[in-house]
Amino acid sequence: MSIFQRARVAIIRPLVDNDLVARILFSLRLCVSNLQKKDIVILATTTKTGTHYVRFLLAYYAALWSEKYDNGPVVEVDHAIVDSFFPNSWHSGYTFVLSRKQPDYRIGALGIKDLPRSHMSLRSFSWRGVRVLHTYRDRKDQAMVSWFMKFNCDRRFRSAYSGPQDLYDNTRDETLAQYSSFADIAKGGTNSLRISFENLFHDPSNTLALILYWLGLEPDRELCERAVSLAKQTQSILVGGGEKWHRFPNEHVDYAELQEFIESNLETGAIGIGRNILDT
Amino acid sequence: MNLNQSIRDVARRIPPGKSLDFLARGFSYALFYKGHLRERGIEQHKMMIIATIARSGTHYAMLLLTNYVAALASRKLPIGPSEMNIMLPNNWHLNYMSYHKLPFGPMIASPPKPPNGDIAYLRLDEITRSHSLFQKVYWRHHKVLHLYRNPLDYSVSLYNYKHKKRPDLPDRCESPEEVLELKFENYCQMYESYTRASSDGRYSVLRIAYESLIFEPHFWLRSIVEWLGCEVDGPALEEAVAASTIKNVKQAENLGGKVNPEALGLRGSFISSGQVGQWREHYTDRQFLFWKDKFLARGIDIEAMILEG
Repeated sequence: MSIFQRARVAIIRPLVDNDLVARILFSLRLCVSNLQKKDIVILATTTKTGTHYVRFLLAYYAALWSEKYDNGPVVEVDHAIVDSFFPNSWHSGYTFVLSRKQPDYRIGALGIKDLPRSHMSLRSFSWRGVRVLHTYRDRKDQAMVSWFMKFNCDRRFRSAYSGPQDLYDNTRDETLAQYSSFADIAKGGTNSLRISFENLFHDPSNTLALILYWLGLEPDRELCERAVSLAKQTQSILVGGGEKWHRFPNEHVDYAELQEFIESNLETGAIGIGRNILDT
Repeated sequence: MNLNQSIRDVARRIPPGKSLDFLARGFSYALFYKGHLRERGIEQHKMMIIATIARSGTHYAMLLLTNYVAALASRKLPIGPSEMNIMLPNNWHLNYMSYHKLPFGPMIASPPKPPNGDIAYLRLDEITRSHSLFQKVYWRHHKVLHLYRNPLDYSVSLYNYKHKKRPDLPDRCESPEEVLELKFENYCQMYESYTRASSDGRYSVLRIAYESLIFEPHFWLRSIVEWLGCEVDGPALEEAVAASTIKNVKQAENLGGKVNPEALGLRGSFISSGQVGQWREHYTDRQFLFWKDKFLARGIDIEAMILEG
């Protein structure tokens, strides 16, 4: 990152915490990118609750739609497909912290032009008038998966918490605030759809269809099934992970440890894994 | 109502007529509507409207939801159609805003009755129903559940339900295809208005195809409950789906229950069979291609819809 970019990040990032500033920057970004609010959907999720599973499903669906109806390229397993289809994070790409990247043109099959992601509570003012897709899961399961897939396997973060219970205790309020903000239907002005990881894991094809209906489309059921089949080839998403460092080599990550956790939870999606965590 | 509509149509053609109509809808009627809800203690965001194309699962969705909340309240199941109509007694047009009767008719046909308090389990004050186009002004802060079905089965169902059973109907059709001809424009407008609202972040709309709801009610009822901001109670969900079968509804009808008591002149059961794909008995391949192209010209791909059971 150049000095100029670092300075930009350092100056703008704290400002984005203010909802009014964030809204102004967001509107400006939409304007200079020639986008309207209806062109984007914000994938606002709690970490390790299926963000990447949803991204893979949507990316494969769009690619398969293009292959079937628009002479698009043949679709094969691609662990990086989400990075080209949905390259932006709302915090950086839509607030001028970093440049906004151009998504793959085939995203048009979803009736949108971008699907930036975010890991924060609903920003009812900044995001007013924008569709928001939210994933969540049992908060204890979330803490457990987060521990094994982010902290325990990465030597940089291992000492951040003493274990999953400590992680849960320290993140509970923030996770609960995120959950409550999206469950609160009093927050009008935002068209949001909540997806539980449990529903996503047990019925990914119907969950994909649900999202497509919500987007105002007619789901092609055959493509939904094919998208699920392709997405399942990226194992880390099936337990709620799927970040880049899960999919591609990273010098800091202990892959033996990570893979052991993933493989031992593939059958269940790690649902119920947090049952022994206590509310202290 | 027809006279009223004719007067409005003429008035709209007079230069300021359209603007006046728009302003009235946006301001004076909207103010009345807000006050009307406030008087009855209904918060706008706690009102859900089951807004459907006719014959697309309005009452099935109502049955699922009433059985679900009744199961949560530990009440005896099944909730049949009569009890369902007592629990959710209101029709949006009749009891909240008869906008199509304005400006010459009353704003409401009759005051709304209080719905059953069990719907608070879904964090709602009211669940009502409508067959209207999406109402941008009035439904701005409501939760809108939109159900629709493929237009071919829609025409068969409407024919069986209405035209076949009511020989006195003024615009009676002799076949499902005639029904589709009659209703084509209305169907397209309905479909477009909800897909447009879905692609707009300002409105809270969830579209679900009737066929999906019928085939996999567990998943879709669960999704509706989650969309409403609630967590799903698995056993109550199981009970609700088991209690909401077509067989149960037919049994209740045989005992005198009415699914849609407001329907005038209806003879026999409200339900034909609920089957998907019945259109094949009424449309030839050639007719199918004709309608496919006709809908496609309006941007509606019926081949992408669920056409088979």
